[in-house]
Amino acid sequence: MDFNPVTDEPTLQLDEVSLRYKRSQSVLEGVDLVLEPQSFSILIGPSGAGKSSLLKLIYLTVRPTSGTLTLFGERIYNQSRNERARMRQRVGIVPQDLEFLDHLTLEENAALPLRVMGKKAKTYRDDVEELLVSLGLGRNLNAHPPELSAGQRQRLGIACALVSEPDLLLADEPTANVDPSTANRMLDLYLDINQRLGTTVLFATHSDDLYDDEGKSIYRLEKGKLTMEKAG
Amino acid sequence: MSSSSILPPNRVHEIALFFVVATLSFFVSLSGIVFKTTYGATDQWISQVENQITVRIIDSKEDQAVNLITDVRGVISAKQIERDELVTLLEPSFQSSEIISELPLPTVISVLFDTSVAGVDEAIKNVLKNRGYEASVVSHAARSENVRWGLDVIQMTSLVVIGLLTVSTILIIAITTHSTVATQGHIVRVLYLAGARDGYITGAFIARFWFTIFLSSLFGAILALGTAFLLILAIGNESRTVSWLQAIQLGSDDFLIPIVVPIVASLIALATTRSTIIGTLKKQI
Repeated sequence: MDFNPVTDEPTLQLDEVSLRYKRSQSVLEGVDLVLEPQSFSILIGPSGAGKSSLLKLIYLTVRPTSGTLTLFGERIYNQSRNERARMRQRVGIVPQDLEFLDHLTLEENAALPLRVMGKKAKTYRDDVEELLVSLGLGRNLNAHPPELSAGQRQRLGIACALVSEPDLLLADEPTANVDPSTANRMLDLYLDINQRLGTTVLFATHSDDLYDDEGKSIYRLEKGKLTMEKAG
Repeated sequence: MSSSSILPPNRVHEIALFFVVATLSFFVSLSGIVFKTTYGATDQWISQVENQITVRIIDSKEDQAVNLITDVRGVISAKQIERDELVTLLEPSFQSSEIISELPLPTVISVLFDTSVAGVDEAIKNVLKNRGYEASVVSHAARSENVRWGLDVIQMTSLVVIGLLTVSTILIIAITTHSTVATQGHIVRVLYLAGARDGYITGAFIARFWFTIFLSSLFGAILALGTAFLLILAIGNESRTVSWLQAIQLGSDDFLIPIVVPIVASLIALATTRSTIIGTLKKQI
């Protein structure tokens, strides 16, 4: 697979974005963030800092209370639910709580984003199989999600997020429940996706001590405020 | 790669849903058919008897009596009921024509009158009395009015019962659909995160529930129609001498019930499923 041609405009741009849920304190305050195409960014912050909310905001499942959000050069303002669904098809997300359709096989689960777009199985069957093999799930094509280990479930989550060849990949705490060596392997997997496919990646984690490689931007989110720790 | 259904199979739940909706549709349809046919038959019977008067002559000058009654203003016709007809009418009460044939039967005159003319029964009574007849004159209008009043009460009661059954059916379909969809909230989330539009997600659920509920409701309604048909057949066989019961029969519009009831039930399922899914999408995500 090879997708995501380089463009000049940022993949994502947040300007002074704030978010407040009904009857709650402010979750995000004045967040500025720019993700350049094909960049790899790490978002570090403790639990409850607002990482998941920030990812939901980027995935267009919540609207900012104030500020502007520009995705793929298009300012998100008052789009309909269907219009936002169309834009979300260019964004892949690996949520913290991975959920699959347990009655479907791995291959069918991975192909779900293509199926909901209305594509015919024969047009994507080979690509999905190739993707699953590349993620180390080639032996489990006909298995069902409950039969998988935690690491395999993460990989399936990545496959579901990548199958529609998104321009932006969001990973919400993929290392939350794994040991440090598995966490590093997981990070390597996302780096490989970034380098091999050119997908812009935003990798959220609560862990401080894993990531010191060069070439990655590192952002810290605490109490709803985002600061850049290191430019990529 | 096979194309399994997006929604997981849930045989136990679907069988339960099928049974509940089929049963409720059966009761709604059967009560509707039974009410409609019996109401129609009773109404027809009332229409037939409310312009009738029966005159019973005690003495033996009956030939003159018929002529006298015919001349009364408002009387359309007067006819003496023959002995054979009387025996036929009395047979269900005595269970045997032999017993009746040995009994002294009164002279009975059946009178049809114009209901727009008031006091016809009184006029007949006076004419007969003035000519020295000892007779009893019974207008059926008074009795049919009582039956009409009873019929109106039954109509109201039946409509309330059918209404309650219909509302119960609607609520049960709505609650069952809602609870089933609610327990499959994770499927809504998975499809949403897979990039599915609202219409795709609601469509998947609607296709499943609409079809199940349509089929089960169709089954219940057809069963009700069949049951009603058998009941009417049984009543017809057992009531050769009772004209009121013979009037109970299925009309062509009764056959619309197996079409209307399933469509209404599946429309309810459609609306409930859609609102539940949209609610789930808006609340959970």
